[in-house]
Amino acid sequence: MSTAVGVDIGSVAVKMVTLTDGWPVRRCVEPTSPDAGAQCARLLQEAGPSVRVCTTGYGRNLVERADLSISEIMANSVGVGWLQRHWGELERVFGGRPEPGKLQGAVRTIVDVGGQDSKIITFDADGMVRDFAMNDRCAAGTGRFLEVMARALETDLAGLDRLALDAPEAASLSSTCTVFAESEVVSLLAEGVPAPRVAAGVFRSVATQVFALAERIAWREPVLLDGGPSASQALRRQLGRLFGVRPVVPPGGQFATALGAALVAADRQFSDRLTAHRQEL
Amino acid sequence: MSELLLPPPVAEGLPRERLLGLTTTVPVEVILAAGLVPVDLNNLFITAEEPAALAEAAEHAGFPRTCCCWTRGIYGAVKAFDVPRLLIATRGDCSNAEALMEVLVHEGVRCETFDYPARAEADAMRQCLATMAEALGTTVREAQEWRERLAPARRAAAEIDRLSHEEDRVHGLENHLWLVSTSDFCTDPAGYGRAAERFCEEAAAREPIPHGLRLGVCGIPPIIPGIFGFLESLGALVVFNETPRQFAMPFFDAASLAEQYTCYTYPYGVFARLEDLRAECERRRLDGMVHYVQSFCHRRIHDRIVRDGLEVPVLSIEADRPGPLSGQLKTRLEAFVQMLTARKAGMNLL
Repeated sequence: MSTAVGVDIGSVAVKMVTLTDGWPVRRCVEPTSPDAGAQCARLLQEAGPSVRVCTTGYGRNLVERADLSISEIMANSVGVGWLQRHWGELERVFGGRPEPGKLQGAVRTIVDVGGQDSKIITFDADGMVRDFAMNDRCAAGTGRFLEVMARALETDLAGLDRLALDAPEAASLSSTCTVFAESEVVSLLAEGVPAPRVAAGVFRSVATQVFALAERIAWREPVLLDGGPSASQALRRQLGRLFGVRPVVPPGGQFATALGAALVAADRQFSDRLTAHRQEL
Repeated sequence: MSELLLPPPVAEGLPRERLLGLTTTVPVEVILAAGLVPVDLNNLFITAEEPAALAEAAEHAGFPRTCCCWTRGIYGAVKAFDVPRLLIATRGDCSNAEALMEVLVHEGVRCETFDYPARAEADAMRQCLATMAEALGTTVREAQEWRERLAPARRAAAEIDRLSHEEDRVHGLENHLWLVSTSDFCTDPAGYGRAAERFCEEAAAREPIPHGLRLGVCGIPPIIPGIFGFLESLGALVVFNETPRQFAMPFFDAASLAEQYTCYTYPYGVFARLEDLRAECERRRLDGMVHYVQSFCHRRIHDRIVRDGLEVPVLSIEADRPGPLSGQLKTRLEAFVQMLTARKAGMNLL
């Protein structure tokens, strides 16, 4: 029996997936602590001493016992590859239904909305990464933007989602800067704009940023949405409106990157090829 | 990386009154013919002990933080090093140049201008050279003689570049520094030439640098030179630096100074650059290109054209101030290298 672990250390949450004989048997998620290295060391203790560990995410170099680290682009791609191949079994693995129930064709674009950055990855027909794009340094178009706006509306991400789904139309937010947009949300509420409309405007703002990123690198259908905020129906709706096609969404999308890291950890040949020429600085 | 051997940005003991500060590469042969000493203010800025402090000095003097950091740094360098006289390229370089000049004139700094022609045409360039020579008190003929005198230094720079892409014996940062320094030859063309020849001898005796990927860096010279070493640590050797190579002007077939500065692509818009980039991608067998864009630079708008115009994958990265590489930049560079590695190895990730 072989065990491998993938750890995705994001700015908002640490996600960990454990594979046994190539199958995900355990997953966990925790808010990222200020000492993410110590946090990961604690999480990895439970996995046992002899497993192979691959890290990814912004804190990928903070984990002492990692056997290797890879970029989120690679990890997410490999993770989505697995999700795609096991689409019919995802409900059993992750406890939620994929949308749609059956995939029509291989994914050509991944939209990964993360806490600190959003990424678009495009693929050739043969599954090779064709291009990728990541958002600029600011939090516009990311989960962080949603979190801050949810707080301004005195709710959480799930509450923001429910509010937005009740809105007949979205309020217009002119600020992309998170700090300015937060003030704008407060002003809109003070002017009497209904909270559901404001919430829908928040999701539209994120979707607009993400779509602009996708346009930069010539995205193609089918589009898969993953990352923490992928659970949001309002975000899916707004993305669908802009892309002109409803994104496919696997359950457990939050774990796609950690899953990919675990798969790379489990496949020594693959990871060796990917990092063959790396040198220690 | 072994010893760089590059001379300091300003030679010791230069009479201050002969210094002529430059904001970009201009026909340096004319300046030398006029008995003046060219000093590239960009190099003064970036090699200063605390370059970020020079940029901050510009902010304190009223420059917006949303203007290019090279512009802010040039202003800070003029002040910190008390450069008495400047030649500012007001066409063919930076959209901020004219406003920068006006601020400096307002503060009592002697400034002259040089305009590249609107199009890369030798006749128009001849006229520009004549105007420049007259303003500086020399002639194009004398400048032409300096072209011959600079030839050994330019040939040595070209040899460094050849050792980079034909023999893989020069690190990306070394290539960048040696070539970018040809804008003013470290204020001492003869000294630069001798040092460059020594460097060539040393580099030729090295083992080739192991690598899995060959990359180019295009766009204006990066304000964060850490990218070269970081890419190399990932197994990607930079064997092409677009703008530094253009500064070095390896145009040895050009019949005259005017033709040489007509071959130089940097001042003439993106399409001339694209032609050069495509040719060098092929000649140097590049696996990918890193397009560096400076925050708040008008050339950032070219990114779409560069991405569309090249057949190799392009990673666009942006930075503002000098300093260590940010985590986000490292993530992008690492992801790009891994993407290219996977493509090269035919690895299907899905």
